[in-house]
Amino acid sequence: MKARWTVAVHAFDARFDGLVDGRIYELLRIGLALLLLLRSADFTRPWLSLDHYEWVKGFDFSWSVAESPYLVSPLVPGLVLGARATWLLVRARFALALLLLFRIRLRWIALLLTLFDYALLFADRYRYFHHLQVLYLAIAWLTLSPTRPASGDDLRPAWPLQLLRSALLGIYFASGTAKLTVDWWSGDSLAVLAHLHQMNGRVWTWSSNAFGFGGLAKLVCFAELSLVLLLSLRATRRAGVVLGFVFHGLVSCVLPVSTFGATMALLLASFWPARKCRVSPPAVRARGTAGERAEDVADVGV
Amino acid sequence: MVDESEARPPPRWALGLALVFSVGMPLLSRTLALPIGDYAMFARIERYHLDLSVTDAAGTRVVPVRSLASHLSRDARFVILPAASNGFGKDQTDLLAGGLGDLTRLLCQLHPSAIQAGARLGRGPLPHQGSREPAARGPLTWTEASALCQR
Repeated sequence: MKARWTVAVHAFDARFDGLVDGRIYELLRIGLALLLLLRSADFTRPWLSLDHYEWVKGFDFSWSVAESPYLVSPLVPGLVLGARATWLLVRARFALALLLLFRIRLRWIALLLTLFDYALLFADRYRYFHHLQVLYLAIAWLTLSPTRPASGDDLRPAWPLQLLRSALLGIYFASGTAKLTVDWWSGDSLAVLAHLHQMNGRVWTWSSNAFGFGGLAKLVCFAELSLVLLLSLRATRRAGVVLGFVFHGLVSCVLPVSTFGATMALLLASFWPARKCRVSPPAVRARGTAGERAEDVADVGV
Repeated sequence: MVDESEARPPPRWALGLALVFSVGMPLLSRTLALPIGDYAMFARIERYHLDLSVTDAAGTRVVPVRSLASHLSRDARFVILPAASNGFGKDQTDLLAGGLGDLTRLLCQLHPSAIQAGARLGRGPLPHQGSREPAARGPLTWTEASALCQR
């Protein structure tokens, strides 16, 4: 029993030990900051039209009640933001996203952004969208990322990236298993979405004609569950990233999913760099140091 | 080069908690039927319908859902107003179901003579593929909330 426990502990440690190319953290930070800027204000409207500009005018979550009294319905009991606090938070959030883009006080800015994002999101239950939750969680994850910038062949600890990868696998698993229902597999859910004019474009016309609602629904479910498997295995990890890019590209062509496709594609990039591990990971933890040069490590995959 | 100061992973318990949170949260949300973070992503779509009413000295009368429009935020309008006829969406239904009490409190404020306010949310399965008309009638399951209005 004790031996099994030791093996499990070592396996757990091995999942989080190691190093990765530090530039992935820079890519994720810049990408997330840009996505948050794009999603939280419509400043690109004159030259770039995005899905969410249909309902976002100015800053997202700006005060929009026309008449008092107004509905107070927070997701977190007691979290009530009036017009003035909302005005301040939406602008402060945009300014903080700019600071994040330029890597100023990374962890503190990410923490403040997380607090502001969730305060705005949870102050009105009707603001919730899954794509915002994914984006805000990823911003929260930046509080764990390395503070010093990386360039060239700089290596950075892999454990924050491993956590992000785990969260992404959890999302695909949840989304795939949620589709294991009669309504989804029969194509009824897609039929209703199509009827409500949620689906459009050439990709939708071609694929719905080719596979039918039922066939297409099964393909989507299969793709999401396949991603869990492909991204989990070292040998198929990068194939999973490519499949994920294609999948989210197609979904974005068909459905108005706002920044969701771009967010997921960016987060999928976290699976691209190989994790490099020392020859004996547990020994590193035991001696409490992790300083290694690139030539002393070996690729261990996911 | 490796940044020595940040390379060591946090304690196992902290990593374990973070791992459980990141991987387990979607499944926990689904188990508890919470709309937040279950990532069903269009998989579950329901039909929902909302009835509102107030009771005053003259009796009980229906309040049109659309009469709330100017008192709602942009996001609340997107979820609540379609429920006057038939709204569609699982997350939206869950969010609305959790906020019925808040709606009754707003009704009390909007109708100063009211003794009681009520909100009734009906939710039901999709129409089947044979009848893709979203307005097709079917059995709804009702959730109700009421509030005594303080005068």
